[in-house]
Amino acid sequence: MPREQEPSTNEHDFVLSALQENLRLDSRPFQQFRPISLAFGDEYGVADVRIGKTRVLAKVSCEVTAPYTDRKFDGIFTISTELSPMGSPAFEVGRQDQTELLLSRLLEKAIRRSGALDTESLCIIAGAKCFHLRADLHVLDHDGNLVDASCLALIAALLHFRRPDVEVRGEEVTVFSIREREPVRLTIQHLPFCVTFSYYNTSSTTSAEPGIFLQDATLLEEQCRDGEIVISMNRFGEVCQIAKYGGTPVDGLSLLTCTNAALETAKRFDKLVKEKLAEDEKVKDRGGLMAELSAENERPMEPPPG
Amino acid sequence: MSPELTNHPLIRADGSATHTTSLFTILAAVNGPIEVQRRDELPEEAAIEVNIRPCAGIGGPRERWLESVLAALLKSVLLVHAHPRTLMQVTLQVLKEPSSGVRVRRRLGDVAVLPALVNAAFAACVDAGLPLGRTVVAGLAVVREDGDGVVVDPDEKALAGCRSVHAMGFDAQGELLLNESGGQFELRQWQDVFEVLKTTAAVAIAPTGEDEAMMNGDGTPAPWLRQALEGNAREAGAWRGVG
Amino acid sequence: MANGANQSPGLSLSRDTFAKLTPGPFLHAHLKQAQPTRPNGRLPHEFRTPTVNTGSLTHSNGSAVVRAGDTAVVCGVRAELLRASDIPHPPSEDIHPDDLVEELGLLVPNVELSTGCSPSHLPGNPPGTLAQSLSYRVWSTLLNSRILDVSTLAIRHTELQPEDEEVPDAEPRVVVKGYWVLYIDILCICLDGNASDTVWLAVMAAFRDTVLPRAWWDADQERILCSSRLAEAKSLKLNCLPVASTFAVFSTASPLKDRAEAESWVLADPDGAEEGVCEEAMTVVIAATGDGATATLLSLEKSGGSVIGEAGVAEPIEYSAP
Repeated sequence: MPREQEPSTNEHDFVLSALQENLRLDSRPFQQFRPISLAFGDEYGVADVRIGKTRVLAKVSCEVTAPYTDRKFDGIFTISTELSPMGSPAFEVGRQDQTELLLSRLLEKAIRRSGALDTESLCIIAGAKCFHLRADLHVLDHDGNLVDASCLALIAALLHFRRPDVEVRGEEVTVFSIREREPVRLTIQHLPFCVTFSYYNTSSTTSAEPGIFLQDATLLEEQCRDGEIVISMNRFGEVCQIAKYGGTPVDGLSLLTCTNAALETAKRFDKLVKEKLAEDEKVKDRGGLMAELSAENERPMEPPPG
Repeated sequence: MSPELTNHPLIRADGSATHTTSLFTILAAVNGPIEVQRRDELPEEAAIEVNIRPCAGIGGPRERWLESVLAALLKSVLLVHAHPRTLMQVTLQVLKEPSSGVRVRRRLGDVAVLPALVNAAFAACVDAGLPLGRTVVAGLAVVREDGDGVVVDPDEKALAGCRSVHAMGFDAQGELLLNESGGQFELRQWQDVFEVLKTTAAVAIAPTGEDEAMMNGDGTPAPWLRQALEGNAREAGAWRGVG
Repeated sequence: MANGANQSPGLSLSRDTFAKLTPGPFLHAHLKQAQPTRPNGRLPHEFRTPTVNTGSLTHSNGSAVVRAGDTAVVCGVRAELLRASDIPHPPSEDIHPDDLVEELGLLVPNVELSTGCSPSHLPGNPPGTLAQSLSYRVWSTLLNSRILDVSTLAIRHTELQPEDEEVPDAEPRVVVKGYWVLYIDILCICLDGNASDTVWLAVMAAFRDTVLPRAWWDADQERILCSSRLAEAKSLKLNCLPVASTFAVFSTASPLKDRAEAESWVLADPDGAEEGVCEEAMTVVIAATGDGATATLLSLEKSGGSVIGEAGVAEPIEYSAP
């Protein structure tokens, strides 16, 4: 059960002194993210996100079940974030360590509690049948900034997912399989994204000179930081949650600055997700049923001679 | 479709590999030798821990069964006496499995994932540089519903309509290291499957020779495992400048 | 019995000490004699004879206690009702009836080893890998064998046709109103090797002992009612009675030695001490169809080494077939 290897004193001091001179080890500006790639799987509901070397896979699946007795009109939506030794040897199966606890709590607040997914739309027959939507998060590689990557992957997977179509006639319910009828998108109200800020208190931190704030810390930067703030917001500037669990104190004004910076990042994430979804649609969509039924031959459009 | 192997896709794990077949895509990560819990420590050999993560959901009895089968196999393949009082940790993530397009009976699908898991785990162990005593190649075959005919490396439809499914693992000398068979079958059918899979495994790790390639043409399956491993070894040694 | 230790003066070990200190060489010393015998007195291909007692649990629909040597297992079968209307996602129409048992989850086995049955299984712990693995194997073999038809477990109701002028002679519709779900609980009281065979035998014996009460759908009360009269209960109709056999391989092979020098023996029905020193094991389940045809195998599992090859598989099957 090895712990995550602590950086040596030299590494620690090097990172901090570089930050004092406004330099990061990979020479990124403080607010810049590492290259982000978002890929979708062949089946609906699979999203693979890479931020630099960090890699996270989200899979959404659903099945029909009975709703909770105290919430008859809502479907069920659960997020599972069991970390495995694949992401890092420090993760152990069966033991919930702090990283996993914080990750699941943050995703819970950002996505479930903020009402991003409309659970009422998952209900089929009140009190009897509903969809149980399950989102599984697999961390394949951990090189820092798991929260942002996980949230991005989950939102992308939820947008990508299609649930089976349902028809209700009185008491009879027919759930159509994917072959029988086109599956249906989920009802997503808004897209919350998480942005993590790592901060470092320098020796000259005063209210006039705030500490150093970084976005998208690598694993080494995370291990050297003095604290973190996680802000979840959507592109309209609505804040879903702000988390600052301990760490050295930060003055209030810096918090506002961070929120403004988070808005920019959230807009960028939003744009990225929508772009990639549109690309994926084009690849998957071959015109739909109408194209298959069309009797027209495919002819290349040639200009008339002359 | 010939199986594919990608080398070292992950950074944090000591060794990793992705294995793609017509039915499954498996990502394997190996850490080892690493520190072991006191209660699992063995005085003369390394302990082996296998974790299997399904695509959707958390693992249940099915995953525990697959883990115990894989752990027994890896114990016979790895040189566990080379690193006593340590742990070899293998984590397998199912990235893609047959979607519910055609309905595959769950219990037969469970045996069908085994060869992919074995091959992925083996490739990851090689990538991690763990001391290995043998090579293992696993293959999958089904016996059709009518009782005649063995289909090697079946697709979804063949898997859904089969009478029995067989997963076998062989080493480089053609000895049977692993066998999981389920369904309804007779000894004679099992022996037919054994012969076919033994040949398939031998082909997968056959020494590559240029004459053979020219003689066989495009029809015969290529020695995919040997080619993948030799390619990785060549890349790893490229810094030496030797061809 | 020769105690195998070096005969230096003043240093001799008793048989039990030898067995505890070095179980591997102890077993080897027994097997390498001209007439190989095992420490428990059995020949390599001899199985322990099990004793079966059925019907000991009064609150379950069927039960059995099986004891093979020092391994003892209790199995209880309890039937619960599942209403068709409660099934959240009814299976589609085109499903094969053989697959319905799996799809609806009508057989639920659970093996419990954390009963203090052996020093390595302390009570109170959640099911470990071995217990979960056994539960899965029981479930998988039950479904592979198709031992129960879904019609045995279905509760049918013939709907009274309302007076329909257009189709006066229509067949009354038979609708399935519910199913019996069998919860199979297997507890290991004492474990001395070879849990899987004894567990399977216990399940089979309990199934033979199981009776299901007569159940019908009451249209007025709109629910399923059962009769409590024993005379009206019927036993389960089993399509076959598969038998499981496990073999372990004791081998002196090691990566440090020459492969050709290794000796190995196949031991049937290993006990606890033998299981501890054997790396390779094989389990085969054979369904006895009863008409003398070539035995139908349901499952063949082997892992851990390379001693049992093609020929090695055929031989033990011959032994376990009768």
